[in-house]
Amino acid sequence: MKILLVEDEAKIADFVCAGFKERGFSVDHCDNGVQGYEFAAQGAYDTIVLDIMLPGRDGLSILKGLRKVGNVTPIILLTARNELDDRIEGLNLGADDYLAKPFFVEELIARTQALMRRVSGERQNVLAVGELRLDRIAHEVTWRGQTVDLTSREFSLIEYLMRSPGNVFTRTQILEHVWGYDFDPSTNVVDVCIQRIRKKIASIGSAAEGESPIESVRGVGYRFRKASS
Amino acid sequence: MITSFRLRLALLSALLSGLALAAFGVGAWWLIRDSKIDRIDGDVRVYAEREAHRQRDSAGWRHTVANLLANLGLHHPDELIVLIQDGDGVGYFRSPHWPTGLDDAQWPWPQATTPALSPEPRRDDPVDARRPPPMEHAPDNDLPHLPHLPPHPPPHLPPYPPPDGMLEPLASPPPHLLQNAPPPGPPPATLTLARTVDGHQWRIGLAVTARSRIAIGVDTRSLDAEMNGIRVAFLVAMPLALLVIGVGGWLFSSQAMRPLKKLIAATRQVTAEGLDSRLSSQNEDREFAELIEVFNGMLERLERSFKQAHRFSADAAHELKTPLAILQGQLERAIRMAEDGSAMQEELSSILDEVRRLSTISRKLLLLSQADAGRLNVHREAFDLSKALADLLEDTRMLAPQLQISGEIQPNIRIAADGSLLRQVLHNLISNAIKYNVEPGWIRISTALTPGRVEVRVANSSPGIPPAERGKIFERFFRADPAHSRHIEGVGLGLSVSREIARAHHGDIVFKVEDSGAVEFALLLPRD
Repeated sequence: MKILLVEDEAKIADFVCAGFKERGFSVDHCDNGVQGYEFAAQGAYDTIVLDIMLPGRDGLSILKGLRKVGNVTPIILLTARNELDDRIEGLNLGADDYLAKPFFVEELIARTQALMRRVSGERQNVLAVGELRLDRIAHEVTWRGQTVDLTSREFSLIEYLMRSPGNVFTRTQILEHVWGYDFDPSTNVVDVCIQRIRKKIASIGSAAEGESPIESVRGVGYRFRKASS
Repeated sequence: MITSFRLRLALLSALLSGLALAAFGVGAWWLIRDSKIDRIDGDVRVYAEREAHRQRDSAGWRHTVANLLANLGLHHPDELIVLIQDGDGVGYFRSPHWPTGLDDAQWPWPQATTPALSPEPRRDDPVDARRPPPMEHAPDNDLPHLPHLPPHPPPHLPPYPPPDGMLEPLASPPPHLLQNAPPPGPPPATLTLARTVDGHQWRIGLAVTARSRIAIGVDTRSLDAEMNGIRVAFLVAMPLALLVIGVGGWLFSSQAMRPLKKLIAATRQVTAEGLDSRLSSQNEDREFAELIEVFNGMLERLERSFKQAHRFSADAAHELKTPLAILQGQLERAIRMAEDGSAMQEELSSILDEVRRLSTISRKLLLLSQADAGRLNVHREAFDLSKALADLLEDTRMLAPQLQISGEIQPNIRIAADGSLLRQVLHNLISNAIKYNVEPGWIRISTALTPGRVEVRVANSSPGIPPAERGKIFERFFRADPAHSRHIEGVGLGLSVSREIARAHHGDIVFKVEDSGAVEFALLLPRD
């Protein structure tokens, strides 16, 4: 999996690159638009993460240029500028997704993975971690072979956690991914939702408290229990 | 009070010209009447003076009266009276139409000039010793010396047959009077009188010679009729003139108001989006051109400061975002690297929450500054409102399990809208319904479809919004007073941002009903 990051702000580039690398991506980084376009035009990337405000050549122009020469590499735009207008223009120009600054690297990675799944033809429709199985197409979750009836929020929450078992997600990260960034960060909706999922699973599988696939990390958030192999 | 300047102008001009016209009319009427009376007075005096020297028989007098009628421009014989007496006041000739109330006995006849004492005619001569006493003392049977009748009528007086029965001599003059005509004496003393009898005013000219005296009187009734005609003409013409002036003033003021109207229309156009419009001062009157220039100058300054303010908030929001992005990214990384469940991780996580809060505020401010600049563009795409509301209903049940939550959401409401922005609006409405609730409370989310419009209603039990605060709920950074309730999270931007988003979709958010203990907000959106 090869990612191209075009971002002029060094500190942002640092943690984005680090985040991708931790997940096993390989990342190339350019800090200006001209070089960014040259790299992107080679066409050897699975996804391009493109900042809009760049020295040399701005992100929208790079996007336009790539699409014009028939380059269809999935592109995620990043911007701190007038986000609505950029989003509209970017999507019209053929960007595949859009993330406004400030953003979570986890979210960027999740979206990158989603994009790549889409491009590769939805190969990974079923996630299975431990005794929990999740079918994205059938929109169905089973625990020890029995169906757990989840609402759409609960489903997308558990999918988000399942994609990175053992990884801690803060409440705000979960909130932003499942509910969108406009939800009040002080809300306890995440905790309530997790409790409901746990209850639903427990009611089926007669699993003890400690056996829940979703673990709490005190004061921080939640993580999906790694499959004990 | 009349609040229209135009109407006031028209009425004032009509009032002022009305007063001027009335004053002019009354003055002119008096002057005309005065001069006409003067002319009558002069005429009767001159004719009396002229006739005083004449000697005529009754036929001659009949001619004279007929001529007088014509010369004085009278139409009816009873408008003229003639009285001839001798020097002692003994009547010789009196018009047959003599008004009964007209008492000639009381007239102040002037003293005749005496040829011996005063060859030159002087009206204020002292009383002649041989003159008879005033008429009231004169013996009735004393025959006067009457003027001698000339052989022919005066050449300048054309013969004129009097109407039948017009003249009735009192008595035939004695023959000796006709024979012994005295030589023409000094000019007679004259005087004019005004007497009113039975509502008729008579202007009477008196002329007295040493041996006779004559009175010629004219009834002013035809003058009065004439003056009455003039008055009627004035009375008819004045309202017409006032109407013309009033209407003219109205039309003129409308013409005068035209630049002002243009200015008003232009001022209406001046919104945040249209601050760059300017008015043309060409072809305008000097005063209005000046006003327009001042207005344009004001607009210029307004535009400049508005743009500055807008750029400032846009720049500020943008400049905030980069450091916030770095902060958030680094915190995220630090949390991941910290030992799971450690105090450090918990600490960092709480810092991250605050950073998110800052981000939310800066994004809302940017959104508002875009809305203020009229640049809140929405990216319309197919949006399943029913699905979004169902999700939201689920969230509400999770967020507020203590509340009774009901939803009447019609299925398959699809509109063209910016999904991410609209979700923000709906979430804001519902989170307000949760925040400002009273326990044990309820929330009701419902939809209503009307032609061309969809309405999302969010109602909740509420302690009520004080009347003083109702107008402020859409203001920025306004928050209902939480003193009486628990601490409420939020910064007070939600409703104002939500309304801007709704308006950018050509919809609105209205505060709908409040009966006791309930509040309802409605999101109105156009439907295709």
